[in-house]
Amino acid sequence: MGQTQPQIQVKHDVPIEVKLEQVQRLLEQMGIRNVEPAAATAAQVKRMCVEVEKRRAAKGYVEKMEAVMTSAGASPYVVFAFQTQQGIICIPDANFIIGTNGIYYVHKMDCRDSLKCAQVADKVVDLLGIRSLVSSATFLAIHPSEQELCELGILPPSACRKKEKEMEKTEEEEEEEKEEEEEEKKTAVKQEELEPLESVALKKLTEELMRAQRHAAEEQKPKDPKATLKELGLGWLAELSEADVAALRSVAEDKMLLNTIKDAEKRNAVRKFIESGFAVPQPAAPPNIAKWPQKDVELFTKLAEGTRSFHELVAKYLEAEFGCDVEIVYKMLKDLVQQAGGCERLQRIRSRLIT
Amino acid sequence: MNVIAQLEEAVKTGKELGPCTWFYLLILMGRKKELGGPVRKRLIAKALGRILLWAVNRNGKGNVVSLKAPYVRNAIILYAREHKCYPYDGAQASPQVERIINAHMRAIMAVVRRWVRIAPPCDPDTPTVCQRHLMVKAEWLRQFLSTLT
Repeated sequence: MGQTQPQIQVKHDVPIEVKLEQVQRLLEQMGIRNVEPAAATAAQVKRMCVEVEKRRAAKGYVEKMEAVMTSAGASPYVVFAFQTQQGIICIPDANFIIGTNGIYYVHKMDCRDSLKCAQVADKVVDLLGIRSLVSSATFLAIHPSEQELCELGILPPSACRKKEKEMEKTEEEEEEEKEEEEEEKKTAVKQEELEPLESVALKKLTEELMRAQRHAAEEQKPKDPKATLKELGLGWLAELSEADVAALRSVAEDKMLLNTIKDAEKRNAVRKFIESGFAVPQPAAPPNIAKWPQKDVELFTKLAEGTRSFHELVAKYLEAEFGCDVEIVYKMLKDLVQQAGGCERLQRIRSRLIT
Repeated sequence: MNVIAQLEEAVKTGKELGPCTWFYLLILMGRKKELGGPVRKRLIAKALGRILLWAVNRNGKGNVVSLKAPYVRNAIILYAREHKCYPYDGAQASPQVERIINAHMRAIMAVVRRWVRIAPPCDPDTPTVCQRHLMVKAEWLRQFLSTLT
């Protein structure tokens, strides 16, 4: 190699001529003899290389390098150019090289055997101490088989593991995709036609929903006063025809006409009904009911529904609580009220029952 | 018509839905296209909860309930039969329903297993046995399903 070797200090404090000698020796050992040494400018190197290993340099280092280049007129670094089928792949012994003016020493190697070339590149990288700076992509550009590079230990184990994981992942993904596709196919087959049972079920479900909607809409509507009257045990008021209600409305102001209803209870109910503006009569709640326990309030509301008198309410209570017969209790209460000395009679009954 | 959206809206607003609604929902739960969307897990849990609550309340015997697949399947079919939901409004048995329910059992049991995981152990000495046999205390199940529905 008859190139001029500049006497300048290089990275790692190794003189350039030493490096070049080592490279020469290494290349010979590797059986690569057809190395073309050449001096090239940065522009020429850029033009020549399809791919240049790009690295970034520390700011201070670039300045120093530029100073050296300016003073010496040549780069203290070498560029290894691997001529592959895809083009020339360059590995410069620097982390910033191309861009600064000056001469670069290029070792151009013909890589007919790309694997061997990759091995040379690997050795070169080791020799130059730039292992951490050269990416796997550069080696792959020289020799595209990742598996072979991994087997030879040229690519870092992490890259190989990543690749393995990716391969595994892709396999898993492929399997999952296949499974999903199969499931989709199955469901597609399933969902092709709605079975008769399912179509009826769908229809019924829709009907249920419609019914629920109608029911909700009905609930929102104001309650029919007649229905409420029936619920309150004032059914006879509800039995009044529309004409009767209209008549009642018309006579509302003429209270004298109310006297035509002979039954006093009914008359009072009608009067109240008219006076309240035909509002639904609300059941009277006992005083202090708000202070009652919730359980008692619920029981009272339940029992009071449809009762005609207090006695009936009491009878219902005794039935609910002790299982007494409503009719008997009701009659007893009536007798007790009608005849004097109710308590004494009760005591007598009690003593008779005990004996 | 988006049936599932309507159903979700009805549940959200507390509209009174017929008992058969839940059975029909379990029958149709795989029919995204016809229902207008997928049936959410919460809705499946609600439907199943209603049915199992009915089944647990119906059979007052025993302190512990084993929610294994045959029990759940029978509960669904009995519920439909008791409430006279189609096709049990005219027939006593329906192999078609049983086949559809069997096809949906995987999704249904996933809901049941989730409940069993959060249930207190039916027997403090052998909690793993309870988990394995999907056994839960009947009282807890009643309370839990009541809150769910």
